[in-house]
Amino acid sequence: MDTLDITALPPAALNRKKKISIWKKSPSLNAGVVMVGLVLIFAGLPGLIAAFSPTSQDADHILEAPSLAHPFGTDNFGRDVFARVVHGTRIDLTIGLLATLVPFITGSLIGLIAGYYGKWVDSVLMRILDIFMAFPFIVLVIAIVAILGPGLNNLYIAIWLVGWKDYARLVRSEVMVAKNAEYVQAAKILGFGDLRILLRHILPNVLSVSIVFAAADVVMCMLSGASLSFLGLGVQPPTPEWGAIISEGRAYLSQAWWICAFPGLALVFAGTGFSLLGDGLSDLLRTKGR
Amino acid sequence: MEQLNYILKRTLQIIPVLFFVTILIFVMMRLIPGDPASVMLGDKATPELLKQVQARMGLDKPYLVQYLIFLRNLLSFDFGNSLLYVVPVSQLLAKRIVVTLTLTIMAAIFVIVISFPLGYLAGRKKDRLPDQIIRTSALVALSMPQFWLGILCLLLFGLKLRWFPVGGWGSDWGEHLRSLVLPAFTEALATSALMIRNLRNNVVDVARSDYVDFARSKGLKESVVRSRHIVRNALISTVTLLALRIGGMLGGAVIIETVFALPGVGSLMVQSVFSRDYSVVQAVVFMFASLVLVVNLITDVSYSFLDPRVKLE
Amino acid sequence: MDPILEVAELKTWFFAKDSTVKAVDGVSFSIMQGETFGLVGESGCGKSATCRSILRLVHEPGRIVSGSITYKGQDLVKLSEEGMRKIRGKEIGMIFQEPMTALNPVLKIKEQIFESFEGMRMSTAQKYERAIELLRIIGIPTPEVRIEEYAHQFSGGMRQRAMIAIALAAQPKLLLADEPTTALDVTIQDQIIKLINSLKTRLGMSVLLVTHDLGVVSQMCDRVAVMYAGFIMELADTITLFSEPRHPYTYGLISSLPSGKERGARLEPIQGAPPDLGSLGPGCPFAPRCRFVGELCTRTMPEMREVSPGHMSRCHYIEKMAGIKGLIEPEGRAS
Repeated sequence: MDTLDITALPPAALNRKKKISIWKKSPSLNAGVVMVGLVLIFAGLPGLIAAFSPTSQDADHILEAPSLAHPFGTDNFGRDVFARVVHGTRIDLTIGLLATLVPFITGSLIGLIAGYYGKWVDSVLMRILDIFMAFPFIVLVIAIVAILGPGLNNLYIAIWLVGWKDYARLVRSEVMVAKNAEYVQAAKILGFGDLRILLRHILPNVLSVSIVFAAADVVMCMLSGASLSFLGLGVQPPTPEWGAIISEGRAYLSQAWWICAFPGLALVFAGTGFSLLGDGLSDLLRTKGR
Repeated sequence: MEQLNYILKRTLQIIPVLFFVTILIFVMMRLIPGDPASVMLGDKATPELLKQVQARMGLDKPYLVQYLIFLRNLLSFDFGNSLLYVVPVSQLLAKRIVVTLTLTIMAAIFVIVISFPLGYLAGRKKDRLPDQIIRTSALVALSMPQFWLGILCLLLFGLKLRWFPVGGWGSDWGEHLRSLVLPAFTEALATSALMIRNLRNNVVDVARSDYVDFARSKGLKESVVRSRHIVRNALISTVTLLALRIGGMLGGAVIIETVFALPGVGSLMVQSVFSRDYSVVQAVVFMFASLVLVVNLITDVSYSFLDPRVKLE
Repeated sequence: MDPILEVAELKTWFFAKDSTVKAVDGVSFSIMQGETFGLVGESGCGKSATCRSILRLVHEPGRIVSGSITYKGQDLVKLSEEGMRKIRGKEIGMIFQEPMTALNPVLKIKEQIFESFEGMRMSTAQKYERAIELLRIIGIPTPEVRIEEYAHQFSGGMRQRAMIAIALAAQPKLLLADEPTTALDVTIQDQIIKLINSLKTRLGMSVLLVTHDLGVVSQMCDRVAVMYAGFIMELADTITLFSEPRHPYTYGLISSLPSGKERGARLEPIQGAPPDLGSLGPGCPFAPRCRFVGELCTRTMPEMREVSPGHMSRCHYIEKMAGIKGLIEPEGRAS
């Protein structure tokens, strides 16, 4: 028996080894964390990074090409595009996160209830879902903004009213599987209440799909917010939101491409960061599952 | 026979959804601050005139009656008149839907041309250089705002290289198609990225599957294994995804048409929102919903042909 | 008797990022004309990888690293892809563990049988006739109806029969059966075993049977190789293996079987779990689980040695095992 432990390692050591290898094996998670981290820094401390104010105009420096002083050039009012892009980070990031957060909660709850109670509750909620699924996302959002009037707050309301549907669908189907799992059946036989079963036993197991989807949804919401601002239905100029900056710069496209180009790149950068984070998260959760 | 049954059943399922869609649109339109009559009259509104117009539009009747009138009008494609264009909305839509549909079809063709070969290649070269390049590009493409991509395309291929017109629709079909190339490409890119990811994963899964090994163990030619077993099975869910995405691409027309100044229903919707031309907005929203429902129906039916495992519940 | 297939020093390794899994690490055996040869072991011991290596169906990141597989004078390891294609199906056929996943879900059974005839000069009518005949032989009732159906419309046992029909359509001389009964109910298992046995005689085939089930081995095999951690541990004819095992692992497997003779006796599972093939030590891979382990075992890998003609074992202490009887009277109950 003294020869038994040649391959034995304490469980903790094994765990540590596994954790490290996940970080090593998921370059997307690493890249995503770094990129999102950068976006967070830009959003948190724009004043430290940009030398100019995003709104101060300078009639002597109108439509200047990128230079050392103005790395992203200046716009038609002589405003520093770099400063506007950096200061826009906070607005676009907030739109992305806030527009995702509320549907994430409401949609997951609706899916949870529909999937767990089934029967007529499920039928009613699913018919409502069918109606919402009949509209292209952006069309319904624009229609709601058209009723409420343009502006950032109404943009949020519109996305919140429409965005829950995907979470509801995802969570519902996960719950339908989970509620027939043995551990849930066991909890039922033991006489636990519905609420306890839902929150303690089902929710933690179905939430992971919702979270992975949310990471990708941040990108979608950020793009939708920027699109609506670009159309003039969201954030209004002169607020330095990326979509709004592009909308303003469009008139000067042939003379000053940089006004449009850089805010878009910022969107691509932030979006890619969150996409990578989402991919990494789903890798991580899949590895954990095995 | 079974197939026919399925098609019939799915078609019937659309009707209640469409019914509720009309209720939703009706409610939304009643939520507009100020009733349609005062919106229509704008500054000219005097109390008497307002009452007169309200009566003519049936706004003094109970909501249920109003809704039934609304429903009857919808069914006879009578969406009222456009305030801005002063023509029947249905006439306006009929002309503009051609642009939007052509744009969407061309975009769908682009999606297929871009994503099928790239998705397959990435799947077969899993984790090797081509796969990594294609996957990374797809990821970046998914984060690209369409309006921005469209503007850059306009700048590069329209203004600088002059390969394509800088927006507009042209006057004959040759010009129409030429002016749709950039918008359709812009529209197609994000969906292509989505499809590439889907197809790549499908190809990886299918290529590893037992039935491909079993097919190979019969001594089939590699080209047969590839086309009859790998590609065919991998494409089933990808084609379904494409069909589902067509609804989203229709919606994307709202932005693309605005960027490229195309006279389609999407740009019409944006204009009408700004000019508070609500009868147009309502008609466009209804039209989009009907289109999506029809596309989804076609998707489900064609899926049941592609995959024999799908049967009605 | 001549061997139809000779596997010599076959090594099939899987190259992961940080380790190399030596799933098959120097395996040699031969299959005689008309014989059923069994390859037994726990899951992950390399028996399936060995089987797939023969038809060169090993997936990335796996690769045949060295060794030879000789079939009718040709080394399959070195054969061109085109040459290999001519071997597959027509000379060597294969059936899989799970018929649900091995049959293409979107092709009719007919199309999948017809595929096996590809490259033969046959009209569609001839193919159809042959396919129906085949399904009838294999025991599928109303083949004219079933042939137009898809795999998901078949029951588990029927699916397995259909897969066997497809694999045998081109009349291979050797059938590789990778766990053909594992996914089935016990009663259906029995039918499939009988079916393969009768087809073997009828068509004059040889069979390589891969399984973890010693019961199936006893019903089907003429000779058996026991695999563990990528190595063959013991090789003998079936009767010898069951009555006089000369390897502690074989002995362990046998004593974990319920035996008809000793009613009420306790079953003895082998303690521990198979090792991680990515990080094997220098010694015998079975040493950590072996009840006869000596100090030599953890240091050096034992060689394959002959116990008696046709009976080989890879153990340092074959002699120590000599007094031990297999199924007949197991000794040394758990202390």
